[in-house]
Amino acid sequence: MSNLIRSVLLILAGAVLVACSGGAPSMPAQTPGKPPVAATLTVGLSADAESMDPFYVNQAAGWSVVHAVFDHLIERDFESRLVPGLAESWAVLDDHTLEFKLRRGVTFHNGEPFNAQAVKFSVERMLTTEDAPNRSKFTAIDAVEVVDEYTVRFKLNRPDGTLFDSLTSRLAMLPPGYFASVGAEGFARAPVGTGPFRFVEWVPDSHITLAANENYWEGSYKGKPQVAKVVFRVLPEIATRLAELQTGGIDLMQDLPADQIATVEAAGMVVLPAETFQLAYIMTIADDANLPTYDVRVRQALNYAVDVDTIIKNLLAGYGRRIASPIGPGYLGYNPDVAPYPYDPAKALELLAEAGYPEGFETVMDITTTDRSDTAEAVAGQLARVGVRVTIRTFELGQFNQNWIERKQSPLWQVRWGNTPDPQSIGMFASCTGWISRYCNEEVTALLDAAQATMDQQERASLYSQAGKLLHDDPVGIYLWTSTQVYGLSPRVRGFRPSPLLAIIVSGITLAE
Amino acid sequence: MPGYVFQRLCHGLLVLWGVSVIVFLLMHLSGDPATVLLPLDTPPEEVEAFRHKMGLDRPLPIQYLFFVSRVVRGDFGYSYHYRTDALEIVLQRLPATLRLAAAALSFSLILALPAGVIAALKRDSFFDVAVRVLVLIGQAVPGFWLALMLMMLFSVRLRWLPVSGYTGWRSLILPAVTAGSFSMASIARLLRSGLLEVLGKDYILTARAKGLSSTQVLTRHALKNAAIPAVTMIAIQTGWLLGGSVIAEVIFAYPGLGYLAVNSIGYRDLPVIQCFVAVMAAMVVVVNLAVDLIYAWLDPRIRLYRNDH
Repeated sequence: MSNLIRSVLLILAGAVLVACSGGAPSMPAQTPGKPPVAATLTVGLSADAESMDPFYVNQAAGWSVVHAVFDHLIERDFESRLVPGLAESWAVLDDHTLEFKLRRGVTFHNGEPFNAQAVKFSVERMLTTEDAPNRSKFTAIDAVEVVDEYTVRFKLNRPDGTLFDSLTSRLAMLPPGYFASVGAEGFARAPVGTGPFRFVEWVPDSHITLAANENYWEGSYKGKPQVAKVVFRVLPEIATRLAELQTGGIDLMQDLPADQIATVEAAGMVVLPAETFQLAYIMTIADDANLPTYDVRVRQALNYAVDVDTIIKNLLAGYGRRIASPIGPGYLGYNPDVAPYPYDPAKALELLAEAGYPEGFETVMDITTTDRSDTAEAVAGQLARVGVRVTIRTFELGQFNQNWIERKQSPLWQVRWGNTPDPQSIGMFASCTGWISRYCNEEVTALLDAAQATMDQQERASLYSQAGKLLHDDPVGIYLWTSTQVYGLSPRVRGFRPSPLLAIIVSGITLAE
Repeated sequence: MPGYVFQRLCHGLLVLWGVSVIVFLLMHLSGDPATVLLPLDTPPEEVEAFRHKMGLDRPLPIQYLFFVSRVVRGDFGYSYHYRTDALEIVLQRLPATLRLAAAALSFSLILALPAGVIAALKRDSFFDVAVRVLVLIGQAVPGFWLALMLMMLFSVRLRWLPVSGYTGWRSLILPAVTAGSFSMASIARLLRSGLLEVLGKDYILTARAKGLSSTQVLTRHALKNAAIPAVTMIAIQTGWLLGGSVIAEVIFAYPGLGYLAVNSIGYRDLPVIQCFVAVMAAMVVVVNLAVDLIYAWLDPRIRLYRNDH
């Protein structure tokens, strides 16, 4: 029910906002009688953090807090390059050993020193925290060896080239002494990290308050804190976030829908779109010989039949680029020479006829209540023009995922996947061994497995590039577009840079008066 | 009277037991919580380990028995999402919802009681027509639309009231009006029609004939008898409001029980949902018990009739 309300609400909110701004175009966006709050940056999140314990965080909203309170050994900067974090440098000693040289003079918010012991503790806690959502990304680590106060070695049980990527956001460095004294629950109530902001308060579903860490170390890509206080407010309803942005209740918000951009700009706010590494697909079942989508020609035909650029232009306000494979723009191994399928319904009809479906066929597409239904309907409408008649079924996210895991999904299903430029997770759905995969191409599988087990990033890029070409020709689904995160900013916000990790990095932000 | 109260209490307990069974079963009809809580790329063995740890791999009747035996000890389990005691989370949110429910109910009663009474007394007058139109609007306007309109007008345009969150009594006004407008309309309508019916009765004529003033007729004879449907409606609305007005709470980001329930359903946070429903059901049972007592006071026939059985 709440989802229905939500969609109706979005539409109405749009109408209301347009009506309000249209009715009084000259009304200035000012806040009479409201005292200036120069020292406090207020951010509107579309969801609450899952936890204040970084090991339990797995969504963008929570990452914004994690990146403010904690640091990682390696970080991914605003250009999505791997840059030194709490490790000043790292080296691959051999296929089974990584060495990290740690930054000196860094202390946790409670004064505890950051050193090799802290790294050892953090990694070991991750490996033993069975319900930590990202634990499986680190299982290649067998042991952490403390070489000296500022040098650690990871002993691996298998070569794993994806570790560097995982270390950038999934393994925050924790203070062992403090953790031992307060325990896991105490830590989640009052977390302590080395990051640019100290934790002050978390009122679940309401707000998270942080205060500047004046002793934040020099040289972080995040920059030193520029405001005394940051408040993350949890505002799941888009209409509420927009109203708060217009009235100065928040300075910065995420997840601005494309259809609200004009309204927000008309109200004097700044709109900042940022392309992310999240890619949109219509996945297809390609491993069931009873289905039309088993035939590679059918899957190619589906790609030719969808006018992706028109959907991007009309439904996504132009934000998004058509993709050619799961190795999207900016990904490790992205190959710009592999061009996306052009819109060519004649070619699609030809391929369908070759595959034995001259009259097309009937099929079903699953979507979740948390994803957009308008794009799915647009795709279905275009497929109908080449005779592929699609019925859309909507599921709640949990049921949708469960269907996927249990291989009970429909032949088509709409998905957004990926949040880092490392294609480490595409094997899940695009290889013969991926456990939620409905696709099997031996060559692709061999390339993805090799890329996973290679420590040399150049070599990995080359392997992914080859896999991308094969995945284009033998598509795992209909390749749609790169997702764009659109931020709405109050005009007084300065120095905000969108992170490719979807988190809002608050430390570089200042507020003008 | 004690027998009557005891009988109502037993009914309440029966309702609570029924609620526990239904809630427990319903939650298992829509998928596996493990698939919501863990990321999609979690390997199957880790999903299994998680299911085992949370007891989700046991047969349903066993899970139910565990559930009930824990619940009677006040232990609703550990919230998957909030990673703390489920009862603690629900009780933390309870004051905010009670505050909003009280504000919404006060808003609706302050408007509905005089509106209903005056409209009935001045039947077909301009005031009566105005009340009837307002009541129609109050019942027909969807809550989310009203909430957005109020927000756009009083918060964005006029800047009189905060948009969302809770920063003091001013934050209560818009959510309370949103949550209370429907009950205001229903109570006013029922009170008006109840009074109209009673005012046409013979005993009112008798009361007037024996020389009582209009006020005395109204307060001592008419209102008491006309109040039963209105009291029923107030009780139903109170139950709704105690459950947290989901729409008002979500739109105004007001951290109460309704908001918690919606989030917990999204996260499939079973312990919190079960705890929420149990606490809710308990409160509704208490409200109903209070209403049964009020009925008995308003109309002795009710308590005598029940005692005969």
